[in-house]
Amino acid sequence: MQIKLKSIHFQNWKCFQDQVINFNLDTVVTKNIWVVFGDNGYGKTSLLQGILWCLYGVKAIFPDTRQQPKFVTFFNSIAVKENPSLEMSVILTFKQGEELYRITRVVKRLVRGNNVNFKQTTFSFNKSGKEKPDTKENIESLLPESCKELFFFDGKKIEEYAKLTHSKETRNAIEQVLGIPEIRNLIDDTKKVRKEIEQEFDNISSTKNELKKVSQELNEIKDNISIKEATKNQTLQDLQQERIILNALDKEARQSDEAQSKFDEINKLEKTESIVIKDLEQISEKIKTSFRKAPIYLLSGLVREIADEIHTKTLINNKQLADTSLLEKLIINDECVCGRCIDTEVRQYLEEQLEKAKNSRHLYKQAVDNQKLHTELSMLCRTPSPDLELLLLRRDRLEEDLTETEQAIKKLKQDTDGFDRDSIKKIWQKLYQQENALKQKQDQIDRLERDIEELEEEQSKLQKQRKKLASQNKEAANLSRQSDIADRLYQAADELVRWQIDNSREIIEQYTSEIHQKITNKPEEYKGVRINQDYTLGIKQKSGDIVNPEEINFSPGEKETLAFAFIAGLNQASGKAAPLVMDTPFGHLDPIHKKNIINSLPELPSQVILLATGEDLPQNILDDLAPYIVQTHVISRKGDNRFSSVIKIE
Amino acid sequence: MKRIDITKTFRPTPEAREYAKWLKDKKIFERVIDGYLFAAAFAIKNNLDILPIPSKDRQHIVVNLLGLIDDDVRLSLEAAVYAIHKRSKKPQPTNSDELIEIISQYAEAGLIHLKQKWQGKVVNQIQDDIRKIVN
Repeated sequence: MQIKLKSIHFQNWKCFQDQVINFNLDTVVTKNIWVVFGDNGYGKTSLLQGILWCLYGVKAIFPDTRQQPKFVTFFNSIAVKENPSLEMSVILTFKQGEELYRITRVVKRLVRGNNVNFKQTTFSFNKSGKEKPDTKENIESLLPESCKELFFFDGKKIEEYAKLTHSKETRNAIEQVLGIPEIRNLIDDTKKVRKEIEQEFDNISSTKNELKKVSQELNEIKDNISIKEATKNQTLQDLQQERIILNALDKEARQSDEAQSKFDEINKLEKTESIVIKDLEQISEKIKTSFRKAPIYLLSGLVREIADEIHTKTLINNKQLADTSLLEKLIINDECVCGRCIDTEVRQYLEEQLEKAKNSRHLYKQAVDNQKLHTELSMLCRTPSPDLELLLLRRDRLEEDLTETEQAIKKLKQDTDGFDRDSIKKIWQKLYQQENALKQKQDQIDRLERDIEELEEEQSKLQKQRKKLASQNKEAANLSRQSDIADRLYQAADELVRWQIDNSREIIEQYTSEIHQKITNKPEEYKGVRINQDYTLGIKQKSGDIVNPEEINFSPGEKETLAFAFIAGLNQASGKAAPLVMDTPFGHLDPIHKKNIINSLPELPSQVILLATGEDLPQNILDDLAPYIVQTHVISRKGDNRFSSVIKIE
Repeated sequence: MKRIDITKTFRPTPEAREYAKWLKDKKIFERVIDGYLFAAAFAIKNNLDILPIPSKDRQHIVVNLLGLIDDDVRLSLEAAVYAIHKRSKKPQPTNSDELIEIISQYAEAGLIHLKQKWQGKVVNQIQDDIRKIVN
C-alpha cells in the first residue's frame, strides 16, 4: 500500500520561519506528481534536508560527526535575532490507507556565552492520533533509514549510483530491499537457540556418560559443519571473485586474440608495403631518368637532321679516300683507266696528286671523326622514347596502393594499441593460471561439500542415537526435540536467504528493466538490466549478451539513466511504495534522457514530489506532465532576505 | 659542330636558378641541372626567342660539368644548336664557351616560358605536361 507525504510543517527551519506545505491527496488515482518550483538558493534542498532530519536526525545530513556542530546554522537567522534560545521543528505527516502517521522532531537552541549548541527536546511518532513509544523503531518500519536514498534523493545521489560501484551504505540499502537483514537475524537467532539447547543438554547429560559422549561428539560435528560451511561460503565468495577476474581475463584474451590476428594482418600488409615501396622506387627512378634524358627525345628531329648531314659528309670523305687508292693503283700498274699506258707527264701529275692526298692526314681524321659522330647521332636518334604515360600511371597507382596500405596498417596498429606480442602471451598465461585457480577453488568447494555431507550423515546418526538415549529422560527428550526443530529452522533459514536473494533480485531486475526500457534512448539495443552478485549492474543486450556498461562506453547520461532506473526499481521492489522526493535530479542530463525520465514518472506507482527549477522542467516537458500533476507549489521570498522563503500553491 | 667542354660551367640568372631549384625541390626533376637542360631543349625545339644574358648576378649552377651531364644529352644539345643555327643561317659557335652561352640563353628563355605555363599547377599536372611535351 502506498505511503504518501501529506504535509510538512517547518518552524524556524533554515529559510522557512513558519511554513506548512500541504500535499492534496484527495485526487484521482491517475495523478501522482507534485511539483515544487524554486530558483536556486530559495529552499528546495532545505525542504529535502528537513524531511531527512525529521526522520533520521542530524546524521542524515552530516554523516561525518565532525561536521555535525554546523547544524546550529540551520536555525532561521531572522528568528534567532528575535529569540536566540528558540526552538526549531519539522513535522511530517504521512498517510497509508486510512492510517495517518505524524513524526515530530524539535530541537532547542542553547546559548552559553559565546558557545552555541542545540538539544533535541521532542522526537515523537503518532499513529492516527495515538503516540507510539519507540519513535525510531516505528519510523524504521515505515521508511527504513537504510533505504532513505531510494526515497529521497538528488542529482548527486544519482551521480553516485551512476558510478556503478556501491558504498557500504548503498549495499545495505539494497540488502534491506532484498529483505536479507531480517533473514540473517533469523539465522543468528536460530544459532543462539541451538547453542543454548546444546548447553542445557550438556548440563542434563553430564550425569549420564553415554549421553554426554554422544552430545559432545554431536557438538563437535556441528562445530565442524559450521566451520566447513563458513569455509565453503568464503570459498564461494572467493570463487565468485575469481570468476569475475576470469571473465575479465577471458575478455582480454579474446581481445588479444583479435589483436593477434590483426598483428598477422599487419605483417602481411607490411610485406606488401615493402614490395610496393620497392616497385615505387624503381618506377620513380625510371621517371627520373626519363626526365633527365628528356632533351634527347625532345631534340631527336634536329639530331636526325645533323646525323643525315654528317652521313653525307662521310660519303664525300670516303669518295676522296677512294680516289687516293685509285691513284696508287694507276701508278703501280702504269696503266690508265682506259687501258692505255700512262706517259711521264701524266705519271708525274698522278704522283703529285697522290702525294698531296697522302700528306693530307686531315682527310683521314675527318673521315674517322665524322664516322664516329654519325654513329653516335644515329644511335641517339634510335633511342626509343619511354612510355611516360604508362610510367606516371603506374607510379600514381603505386602511390595510391601505398597510401591505402599505410592507412590500413595505421588503423590496425590503433586497434591493437596497448597490445604487443609479449603482453598477449602474458594474458594467455594469466588466463590459464586463473582457470587453474578457479578449478582449485571449485575442487575445494566440492571437497567441502562432500565433507559436510558426510558430517551431516554422521550428525544424523548421532542425533538418532542421542534421541534414543534421551528418551530415557523426559527433559532430555524434550530438549532433543527442540534441538531438532532448531536445526531444521537453521537449515530452512539458510535456504531462505539464498531463495530470497535470487527471488528479490529477479523482482528488482524486472522493475529496473521495465523502467530502463522506457527511459533509455536506445531501447532497440537493450533488453534489460541484470543485477550482479555484488549488486553492480549489467546491461542485457538484444543479442543476449550481458555486458558491463563501462565496456560499451556508456555516456554519463546513459549511466545516470540506468542509476535512476535502479533507484526507482529498488523503490518499487521495497514494497513500501514510499514517496519519491527528488531534488533537481536531472539538472545536468541531456535533453533526450531528461525527457524520457520525466515522462516515465507518471507510471511509477508512488507519490512523486519534484523539487525543480524552471530549467529542470521547461514548458514543453511541463506540458507533457500536466495531466499527471496534482499541485504546483512555488517557493518565493519575502523581499531580498534569503532566510524568508515562503511556499504557495500556484 | 662544336662540342661542350665538360670542364666548363653553366651560369644561370638567379631567377632561372631559383625556378630550376623549385622544380628540383618539388621532385619534378632530380637535379637542378636536369630542369635547366630540359628548359633549354624545350626552347630549342620550339625555337623560342633568345636574348643575351646580362652577366650581373649570374651564378654557377655547377662548378664542373664532368660527370653531371649525360653524354647523350650533351650530344643532343650540341647537335640541336648546330641544326637550329644552320636552319636560321646563324653563324655556328666557334668554341665551347659560345656553345654553353647559347644553350644557357635557350635554358633561360625556356624556364621563363615553362614558369608561366606551369603557373598554379601541381606536381602531377606538371609531370603530365612534361609527358605531353616529350611525346
